[in-house]
Amino acid sequence: MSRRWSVGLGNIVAVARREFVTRATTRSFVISTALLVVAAAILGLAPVVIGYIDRNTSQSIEVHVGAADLHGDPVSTLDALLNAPALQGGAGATDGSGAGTTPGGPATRDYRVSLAPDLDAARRQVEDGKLDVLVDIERDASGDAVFTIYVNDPAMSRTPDLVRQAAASIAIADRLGRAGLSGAQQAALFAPPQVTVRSPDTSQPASTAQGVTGEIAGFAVTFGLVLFLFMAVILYGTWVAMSVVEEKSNRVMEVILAAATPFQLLSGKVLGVGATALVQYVIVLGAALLALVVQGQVGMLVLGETGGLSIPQGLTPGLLVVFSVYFVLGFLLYAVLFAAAGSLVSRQEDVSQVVTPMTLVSTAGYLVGVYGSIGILDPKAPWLVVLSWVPFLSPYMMLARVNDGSAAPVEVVGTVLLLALTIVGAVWVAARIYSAGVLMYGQRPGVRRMWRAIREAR
Amino acid sequence: MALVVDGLRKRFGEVQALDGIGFRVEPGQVFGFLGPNGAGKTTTMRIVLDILRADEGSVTWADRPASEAARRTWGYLPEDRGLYPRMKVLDQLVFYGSLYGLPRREAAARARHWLARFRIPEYEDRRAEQLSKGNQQKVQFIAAILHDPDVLLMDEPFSGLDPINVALLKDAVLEMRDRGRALVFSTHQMEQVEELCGAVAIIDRGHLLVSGETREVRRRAGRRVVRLGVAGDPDLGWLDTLPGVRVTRSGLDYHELDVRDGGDPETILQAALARGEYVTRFEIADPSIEDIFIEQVGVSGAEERRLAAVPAGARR
Repeated sequence: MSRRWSVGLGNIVAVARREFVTRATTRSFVISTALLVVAAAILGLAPVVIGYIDRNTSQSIEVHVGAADLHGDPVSTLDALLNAPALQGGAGATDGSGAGTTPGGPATRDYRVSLAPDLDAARRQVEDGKLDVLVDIERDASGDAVFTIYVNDPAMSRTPDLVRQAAASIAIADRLGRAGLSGAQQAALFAPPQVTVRSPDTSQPASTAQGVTGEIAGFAVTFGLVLFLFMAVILYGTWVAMSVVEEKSNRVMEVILAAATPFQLLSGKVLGVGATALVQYVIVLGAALLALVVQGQVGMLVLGETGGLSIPQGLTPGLLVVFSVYFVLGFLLYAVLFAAAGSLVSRQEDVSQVVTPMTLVSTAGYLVGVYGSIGILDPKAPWLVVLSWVPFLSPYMMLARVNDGSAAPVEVVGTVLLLALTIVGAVWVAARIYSAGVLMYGQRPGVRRMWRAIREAR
Repeated sequence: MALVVDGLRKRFGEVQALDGIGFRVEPGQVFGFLGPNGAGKTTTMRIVLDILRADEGSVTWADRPASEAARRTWGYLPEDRGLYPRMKVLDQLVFYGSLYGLPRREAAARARHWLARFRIPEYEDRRAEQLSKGNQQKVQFIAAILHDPDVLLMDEPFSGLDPINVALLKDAVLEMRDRGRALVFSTHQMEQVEELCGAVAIIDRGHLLVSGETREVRRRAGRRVVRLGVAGDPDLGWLDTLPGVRVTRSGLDYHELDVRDGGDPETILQAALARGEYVTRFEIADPSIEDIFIEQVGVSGAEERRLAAVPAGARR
């Protein structure tokens, strides 16, 4: 018995090895890996890249103060408000709390604010494009401060809106100053109150401002991981199916079937393609991580400033382990089914049609997983909890549930076990479909035919 | 130690593909498995190799079910050549060898050895798609025998080969036979059979028609073949008047006569001489396997060998 096992293992290894070597040495694989590595490196260096682009596109703003007795310093107020981290880095970070800090955002200034001595000269500079924005502060008849923002192409620019917000602060400071409040008193007046956001479950730690951004980063991480899994299933799953069809159309199948059982062929193929996928993923992930790690140094070189090391928050080792388990198992489950589906057709053109069921289920799992992870759907909703136990969906959905803390460890272990059991069953069914399908040429696959294949297979 | 196939039956939907196929192949024997297209030769081979499952019947090797013993000690050369088009020849051979349990280094050494013996050593680094069909077929054959199988099944091994490659392949087959391997090959080309096969089976539409040792099968046909050549271009109508004699083929050099049912070849010669013919050739033989094949398979064979006459109205 043990001899038969070792024979089987030898064949699985031989098939997997051939699959891996042929795939990994194709030019398309090398090129696509290289492109993905470049993309990953750019993504990992995104803060530096954005900082670099921002530095070149930083806007110059001049302020002309027509009201000589204006209280406060409008230049420093504008500078502080416009360059506040909450406003930096574009959409998403302006979450209204005003206290959020974008992790890893380099301390470059988006706006350079200075005083304009001459209104007309400055206005001409705006017209010529040498100056981006000019703010003129005057007093109206009632003595209140009025603001005029000179800008080219006001509809396209975001700056007037930001300046408008800052103007409100300047105006209020001015009114308070005229009412006789000192700078210190004003500071006390504007000191932000302490606000705590809590989950109704008081055993959970209170959500601080840091926690909010952490949560956002967590969403992003889960989203990324779910997307990763989805891409692997569709991309490499199709590889598996294509590879089966290729062997069928070459008629290689008959030769290797004489030497190996359908089960060995199927397992070897799935493992071989899986190994190729894993290698590509590890290379790309490694490049991304490396880029994240050296980001600070690169930032120093390119920008002359330190960005500091930053791994995305929410990417905890625990989550990575859980992800790896779901990733491997989820991929195996789908790859096995893709192989069985591939065995049912004899031409490459028919592959996309026959893998549609898997693609649909996978897409559904992916969408629900993503919606759950970014909060469009509540991962705690009962129907989502139930669906997350379905083996075809759990790799996608459990990630969101693990990330938001609604999945108990027992649920993780349970779904993983269920997933593993399903894989065993899928391999059994798939090997049968495969052994009947691989010698089936030019017949249309149908449910009845598949059922007969499963029953009749050896 | 013999390959015994017994009572195979297999049905594909409405079609009874095999209906009681059985034969026996001894080690050191080349077995010819004959039948017209669609007779069930490939299906039988697939069942013997455990690629397909029979509805009924058994395949044993050395008195044990073949499914337990097979695979590693057997080789298979299918009818459709199956090579990975973009894989190098040596890599393919090593892959096939390792499927049969050879260590990779050993497989590579044997592959080189056989490529050299088949006079194509320079192709080891070529991709399969760059080879001619004949050379691909040689590679395919090497893939099937790399692990020196005890049993080798070949489906139409000679189809599409030029005479030189046919001779090479025959040489390899005979060498394996002499080393005590059991070889089975299917074909519908009869020339190779009498030269190579110690035993044959003829099947048609899933039925076994004849089987046994080649010599025995020929003798058992219950008739003799006489080849008679006479000078000039005389009227040979008198031949048909002899009892049990029938002209089966008229050629320029000689005529072939079928003698059976009490007919005696001697009387033909005597009759010819008595008529004053100048006999240039007289030969008595058992019917060839081809004769037997046509006789067995082609009950309506004479008709099927001509293009069907289609009524003029049926044409468009």
